[in-house]
Amino acid sequence: MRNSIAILICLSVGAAAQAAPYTPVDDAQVLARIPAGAARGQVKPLRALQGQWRRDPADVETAVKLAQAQIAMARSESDPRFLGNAQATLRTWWNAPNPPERILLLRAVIRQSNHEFEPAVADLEAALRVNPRDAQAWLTLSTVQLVMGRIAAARASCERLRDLTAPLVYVTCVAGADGLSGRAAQALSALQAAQARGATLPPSVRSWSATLAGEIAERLGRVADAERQFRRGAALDPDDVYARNALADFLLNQDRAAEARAVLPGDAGKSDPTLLRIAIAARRAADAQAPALESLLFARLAASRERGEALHLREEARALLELRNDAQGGLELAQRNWLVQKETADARLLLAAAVAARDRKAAAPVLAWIQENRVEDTLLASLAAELGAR
Amino acid sequence: MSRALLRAALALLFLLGAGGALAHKASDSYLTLTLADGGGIAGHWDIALRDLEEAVGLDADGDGNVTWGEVRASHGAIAGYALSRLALAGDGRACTLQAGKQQVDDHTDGAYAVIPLTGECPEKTARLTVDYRLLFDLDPQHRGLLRLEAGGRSVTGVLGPESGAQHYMTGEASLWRSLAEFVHEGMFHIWAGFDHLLFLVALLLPAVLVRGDGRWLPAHDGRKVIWTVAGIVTAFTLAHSITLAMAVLGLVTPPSRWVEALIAVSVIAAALDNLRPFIPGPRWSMAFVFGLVHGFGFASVLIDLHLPAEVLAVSLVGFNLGVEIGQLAVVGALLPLAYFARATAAYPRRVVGLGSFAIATVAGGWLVDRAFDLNWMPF
Repeated sequence: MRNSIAILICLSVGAAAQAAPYTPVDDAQVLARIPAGAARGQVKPLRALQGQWRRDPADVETAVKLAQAQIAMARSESDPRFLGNAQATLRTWWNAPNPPERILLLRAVIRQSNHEFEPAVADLEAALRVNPRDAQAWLTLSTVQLVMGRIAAARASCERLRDLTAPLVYVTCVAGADGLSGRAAQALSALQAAQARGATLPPSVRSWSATLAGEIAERLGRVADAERQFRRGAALDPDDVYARNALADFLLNQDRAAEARAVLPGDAGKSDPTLLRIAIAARRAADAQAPALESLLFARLAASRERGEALHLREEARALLELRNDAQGGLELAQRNWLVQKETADARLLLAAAVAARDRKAAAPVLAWIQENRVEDTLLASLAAELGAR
Repeated sequence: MSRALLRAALALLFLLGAGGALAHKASDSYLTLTLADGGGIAGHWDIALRDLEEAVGLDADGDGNVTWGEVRASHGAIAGYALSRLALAGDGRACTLQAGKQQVDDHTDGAYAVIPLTGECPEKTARLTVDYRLLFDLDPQHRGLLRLEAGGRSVTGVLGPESGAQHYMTGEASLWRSLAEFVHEGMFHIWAGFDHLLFLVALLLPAVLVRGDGRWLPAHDGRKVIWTVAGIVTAFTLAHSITLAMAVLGLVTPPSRWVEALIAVSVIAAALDNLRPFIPGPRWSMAFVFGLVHGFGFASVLIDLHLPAEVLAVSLVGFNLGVEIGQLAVVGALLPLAYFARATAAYPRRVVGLGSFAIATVAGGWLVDRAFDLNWMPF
């Protein structure tokens, strides 16, 4: 019951998005919650850091602390405005060719969130030349390289973590690359072994590991294993939006829409990817709220597009494909998305769109990627078979 | 790796790719303006409460809730902050702008303050300049989403920190009037475009001389000189017309930083070639090749005007015409002087020699400035 009330409130906000300006009548009416999420306790320390920074914007220590706090807020609030704030914090060095190493790392994180992957990689490599033992930088670098589809490079970056971090972190990083380069089964066993030994690590690490294990298991067709791992991942860190969305996606892939709906929150809040999954689950479960959820989602995606950026191609492509049955539109966006991001989700999206649009040629880049890297994924394989490419 | 470091690493990690778990949109404001023929400006500006909280501080009691009462109490501060970050000008003269009684509107990403705007621009403003600087010091990813209605047309734009002052053509869409405006633009642009001018000058200086005996000698045949100059100017004109059209019509979009740097290179090359000829072929072919690059440079002026499609053809013809007239004026002024001076002893060495050297140096400064985005050249 609580879930549907939350959705109703969310929806009425959505409906009002099309309405005209109004003058509230009650002075006590709350118009905005800032911040909205779990980080409400963080505001005072953040303001204190900001005050410090304003007194000397060029001081590296203060800037690093403030930017780190803002980046953490961006994550916990699912609000990229904080990333813009972090960019402003680093303005002394933002266009400098050789800022201090810790600034380089933060600049890379902000840039990659804007999908400026090449500049992010350049920054990380520069930081690592200064400090080759910076585990954060290696970890970040490997993840960006994976997104770009540079699997061998990502693995090499992960290898550098062997002597720098806990075994579970190292193994998970490597498994991310191995899982996509013909060594999926070995990656999964290594992960499961390391998980047993990594029980004392923070929940966020174990959640990351479990979710990855779930993804690899799903790709290998080991459905029961995958479900166990995905549920563990979501349970270990309830704040982890990625883990929860991954579980929902798994359930949707298994045609268990109602269960997918149940694991997702009642209120999508600011997160478009979450709203996307809620909308898809609602439609598949023939939920009465589906149309309203869909129009809210598309309104948000349209608002993002007005900015002239293309950061949500993956979400928009999937929305067009699964909610509007727009195969052509979905395919176009999926193709543009593939130019920028090359994760399994992007590959599956492009193949699914190609199948829907009956356009075998469009799938060629993904098929080549699968062959080149020896990617093992039962879902990709069945999509490719549908295309008649085998 | 210590626990704290580990946690920090993981915190960073989870921002990454990962389907963009925080893929909701960054900060935007919505600025809607209507410009009447009489010069009256009306519209409204929607700014997110979340952003105003950051900029002005709305949450007076610090409880994390921004109430209508708190927003009402901050009306003055909000209006003052907003108006201090927006400047409108009509045909170069500042417009007045006032804020009215604020309301609230709900956009897809939360509640916004709605600031009604009224103001006065010069009557029959043909070109409206919007200088938008809201929030960039706090959030360089903020964008102003402009919708402008004027002269029976509707124009939209995305204003970011790199936009600077944006110009919009707002005059009545009469054909002759538009043509005249663009001729004016073209002429203005070539006279204000020192790099284009210096390129022309570098090409023209030795046109009144001929090479003989291993050095420069004054040309004897006036008609031949005019012919040569005409060839150079025509080749330059043809080349930049082509690339101007291609760029404005969107067929080619070369990155502007490269274009500006290459223009500087062309000036250096032309100047150095005067000192020690190294560019093969006749001068008009060099003028043509480099003219292609200059055309892209002109194009950025037209592109920045955000013209609707109907006006593009007129703009291209008019602008090009303006550039030609401007060029001819420069040539017409310089050439006779150069011709009469060509036989003096000082001309080859001082005027052409030192002049070319000076041009090359200035252009060298441009090259460094443009390639590394330093912004220290004053012109």
